[in-house]
Amino acid sequence: MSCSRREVLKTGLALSAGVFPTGLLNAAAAGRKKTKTVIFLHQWGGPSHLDTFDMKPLVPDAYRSPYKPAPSSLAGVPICDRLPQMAKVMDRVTLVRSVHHEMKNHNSAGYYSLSGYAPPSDDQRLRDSQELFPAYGSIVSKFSQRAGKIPAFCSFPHVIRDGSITPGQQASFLGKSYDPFFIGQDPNQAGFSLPELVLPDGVGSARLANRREMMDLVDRQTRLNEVNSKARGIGENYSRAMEMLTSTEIRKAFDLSSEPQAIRERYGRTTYGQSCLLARRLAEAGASFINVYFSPQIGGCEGGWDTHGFREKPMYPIMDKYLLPLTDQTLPTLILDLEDRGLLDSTLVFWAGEFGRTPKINNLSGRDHWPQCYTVLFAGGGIKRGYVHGVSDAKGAFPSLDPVRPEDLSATLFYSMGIDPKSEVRDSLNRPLPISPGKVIEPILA
Amino acid sequence: MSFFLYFGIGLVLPAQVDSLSPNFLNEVAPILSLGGCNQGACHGGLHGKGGFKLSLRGEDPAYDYDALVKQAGGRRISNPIPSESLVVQKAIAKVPHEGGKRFKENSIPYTLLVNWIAQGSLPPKSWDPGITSIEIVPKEKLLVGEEKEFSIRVMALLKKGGVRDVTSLVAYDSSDFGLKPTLDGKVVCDEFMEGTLAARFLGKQAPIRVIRIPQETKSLPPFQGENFIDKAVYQKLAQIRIPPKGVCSDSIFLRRAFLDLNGQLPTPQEARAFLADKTPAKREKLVDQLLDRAEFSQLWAMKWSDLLRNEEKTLDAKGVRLFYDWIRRSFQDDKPLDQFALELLSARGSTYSQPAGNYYRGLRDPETRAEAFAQVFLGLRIQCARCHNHPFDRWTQEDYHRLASFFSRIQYQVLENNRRDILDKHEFAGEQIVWLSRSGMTLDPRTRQPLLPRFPGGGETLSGQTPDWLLELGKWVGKKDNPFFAPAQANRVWFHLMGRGIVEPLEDFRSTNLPINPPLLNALAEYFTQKGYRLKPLVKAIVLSQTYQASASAPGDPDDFGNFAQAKVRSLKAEELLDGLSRVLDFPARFPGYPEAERAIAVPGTGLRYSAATRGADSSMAKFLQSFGKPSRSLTCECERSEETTLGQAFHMISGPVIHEMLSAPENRIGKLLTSGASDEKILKEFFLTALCRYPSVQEENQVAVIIKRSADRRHGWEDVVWGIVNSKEFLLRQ
Repeated sequence: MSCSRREVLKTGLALSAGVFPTGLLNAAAAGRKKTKTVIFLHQWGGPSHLDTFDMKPLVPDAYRSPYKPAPSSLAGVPICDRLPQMAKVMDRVTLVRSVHHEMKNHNSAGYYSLSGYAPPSDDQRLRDSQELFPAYGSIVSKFSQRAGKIPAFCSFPHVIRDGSITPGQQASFLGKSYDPFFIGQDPNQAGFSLPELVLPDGVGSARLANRREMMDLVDRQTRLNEVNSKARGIGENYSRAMEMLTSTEIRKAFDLSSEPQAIRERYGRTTYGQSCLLARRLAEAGASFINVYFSPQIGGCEGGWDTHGFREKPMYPIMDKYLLPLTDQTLPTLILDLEDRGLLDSTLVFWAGEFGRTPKINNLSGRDHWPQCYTVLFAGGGIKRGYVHGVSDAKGAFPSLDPVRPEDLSATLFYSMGIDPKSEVRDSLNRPLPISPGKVIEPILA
Repeated sequence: MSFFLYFGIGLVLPAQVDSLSPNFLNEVAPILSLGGCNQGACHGGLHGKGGFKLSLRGEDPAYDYDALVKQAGGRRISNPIPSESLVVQKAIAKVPHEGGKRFKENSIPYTLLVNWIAQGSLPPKSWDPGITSIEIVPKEKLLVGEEKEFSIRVMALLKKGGVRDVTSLVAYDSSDFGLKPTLDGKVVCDEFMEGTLAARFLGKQAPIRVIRIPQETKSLPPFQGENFIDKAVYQKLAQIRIPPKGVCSDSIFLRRAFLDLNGQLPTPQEARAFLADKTPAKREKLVDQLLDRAEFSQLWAMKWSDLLRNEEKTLDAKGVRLFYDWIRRSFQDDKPLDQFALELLSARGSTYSQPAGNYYRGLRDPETRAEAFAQVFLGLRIQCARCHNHPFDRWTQEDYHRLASFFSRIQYQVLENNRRDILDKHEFAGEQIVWLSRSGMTLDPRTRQPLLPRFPGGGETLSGQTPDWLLELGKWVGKKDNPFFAPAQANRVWFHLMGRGIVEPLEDFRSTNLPINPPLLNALAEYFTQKGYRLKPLVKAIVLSQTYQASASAPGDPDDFGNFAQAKVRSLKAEELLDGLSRVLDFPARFPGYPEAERAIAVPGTGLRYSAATRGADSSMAKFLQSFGKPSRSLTCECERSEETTLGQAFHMISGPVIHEMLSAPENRIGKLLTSGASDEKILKEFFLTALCRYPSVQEENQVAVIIKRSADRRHGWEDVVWGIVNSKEFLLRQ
């Protein structure tokens, strides 16, 4: 049918290959390490760069972190003294200390951090609609050629929101088939399993076989499968679902209880810790892009990084007791575990929130939103080991060298996976849009 | 329809291009389009590329002149050695150019550019290109068999009279990869197809429709019959030599009619009665019955609630119900659609006492209102023209903002707002008054001058004295001099019944997106107009045509390029699927937040939770509907409803809670039939009749007997058989 040909055209995939020059990617990508899987540890709320990876010990009291910079395994790059385990693996990471944008609200900045596209406005409650850009993982599952039993794009264990759901977590105009395989269960709970992979009560394999037999019987009568692509598409999804339901490989990937106790403890028996462990298992099983959300809420005593210091939620006590220990337990563990398994060369850990925090400490002894300059972290895959890109000014207020925008981060992520950032997709108005409008940060490529 | 750009690299010298003394506007500006330099992905993007920005697709040649000649300290142009100019060197990739080689050395564009620079890179005497339109000759081309290539000419009609051949200076956008312009006015069509090639020159566009069919097809005999729809479809099919499929079986028709007119499946009794009826007019009789049922208005109220953004966050629960009821009653009364539009556009007052005002409650600024109005009622996507002239149509930024100006005086008095999330400015809970202020106009984004409203398509401009602009716009909707309304609505109705618009995408009428069958669209629009813009007569006419009743394609059928020779097979919509399960199992579904709704199609809102206060997860019912494509109604677009098939849907059907609850409920149809002591044969017939509108085959009966016998528990056996039926493609698809 001609409509199907038009549907192909709509994707814009063939377009970019056929009409636009794509030589750049192939030429430059030759001989480089390639990222097969990205684990995006999304730090909801906006972590303070000034109390973690971009310490400024020489600023006046009103600006200075109560923490001290401590030397790390990367010479000349001290980090916060409350991250001692992290300090040991700094020689495996790249920091980008000059990320900046203009979005001061969680949802607009969050969308920017999840999609690499600037929102149309800095709206506190940006609406999640098909007008907005898809999640990184949706783009990757559309453009990457990997096909396995594990869904290409997985996300868990929260849907993040600040009031309304933050856009950028779904496939948006790319279509539902590129939505993430979302796991809403807590991987830290005993008996963690996916409801999708559990048959309803009383329906065992014998009954499932009866059901399939009956379905196939009716399908054989109409022969719709032979004639109609829609029918075939439905059939393929059913086969895939049945395969996932019965596959030991899939079952194993999601079965955290098969993991040695010691490893589970190393990641920490927290929702976030076990989510990072699950991410490693899914990377091993062949997923391409994994979003792990740190917290469903922006802030609070056991929420995200939104440390204004509001009453009963004082910044530094929460940093001391919760945010920093949790980070110091999980992030280095994940990096080392990947390395131990020989997966770090093909797996890129990307640690980033939606913005940083104000250089000046506010009158509640907290820090407010600061998109003008903040730090993100990469470890593994096609990104350099032990490197710092970009410099912030004396107070960590603005980039003073090599400023980087969120779209440059997306361009770099796609590029390191072998996907041309200039590849086009079509939005709901059929406008051609590059999957990233930014520039690849070439100095950080391994 | 997608369009993509072709670059003419290295054209031979044409007749009517003055390559010796080229003029910037007439010769140089067009080659920036021809070379693709000014497209969105390159220098035409918002920020340009490499510090060099051109206006998008050359909509502002004066700007482009400045960019070329004056910006960057004039370094792009070298008058002493024109061929060493940066712009020339980049275009032929003598110096590194991210966009690659755009022109060959000594090609026409190259020569034009170099000669223009050599003569001082002067601006034109006037910025008026002096053309009224462009035309492609021929307007349509049919290629048969191995015939793949033909010539076209593109003529610019000059204001001063006469024409100019601009064939070698136009840029092209093509709907299909197989359709390509080549050297100097040649077009090559590689595949058997039907497509459009659009030429573009200095802001003017002209399309040509190209069809290529295989040789072996035979000519069709002349059309026999009366039906105006079948006649128009047949005449087009005769042109591409593809015979229409025969009329479908009673079973298929029954299922189609129930789903398309009522969004529902028949009961076993209804199916049995229709199949047993031997009278010749039984299809018409069924259609009349279905048009009169409440479900008909519920189904159309659901479709229009999608379009009019009837959702809980902005309208609140009370508003959603009131708006839905108003919409549903309009369809129940078969209110003329222009009247429906007028009532929406002129709605004022409390959105609780004047429910039509919820239209504005959901559209909070003049631009969004104008875009929604144009898309829903006129079938036009004018969004592009908010920021720049529409790249594929005649709409200018001024047209856009003059339309928005109609809506610029809408104001809200928010009497109360008990929003659960105080930070969320999209959320409203409580009464609001929609009112008109006495002043206000949108501003021209370039000149910042206020713009009086003007009817789209070159109509009249209203004065500031007109008391109510929106009332005038509402009255204009159904007037004869509105060329957009009737075709757009006829196309929408056709889409909902046929699964594919005559113009596709549905709400994208434009000069470069031609209807696949213009006489058919005209005939439908005329019929709709004659019948006073009422829905039911149009629906009835379509459903009774042989075109609607055609069978779906079978193996070996030729490709009809979307010309309605065959019926389109589509997935059941989310609500149809859920209601279908509910009907088959005779077990009512329940919808959180809408206890009054007995069917998914009758749920007034989206049923989604959205705010911090209701942070809990959506109900399994809402998740089910969303997974199968129910839109969240945050856009004014048919496209928001997804028709995709996904892995998530398969899990809902295999291991999900919604279907399991219905299947295992003791008092469902399985339970009732087993309790009544019905035989296995009788039970199977009941399920087949309602789910598939047919009787089971002998083979199916025998195999089911085996499955039931094999099952340890007869009830479980039946649950499994029914699961198999409702997961068959025959159930999940509408053929």
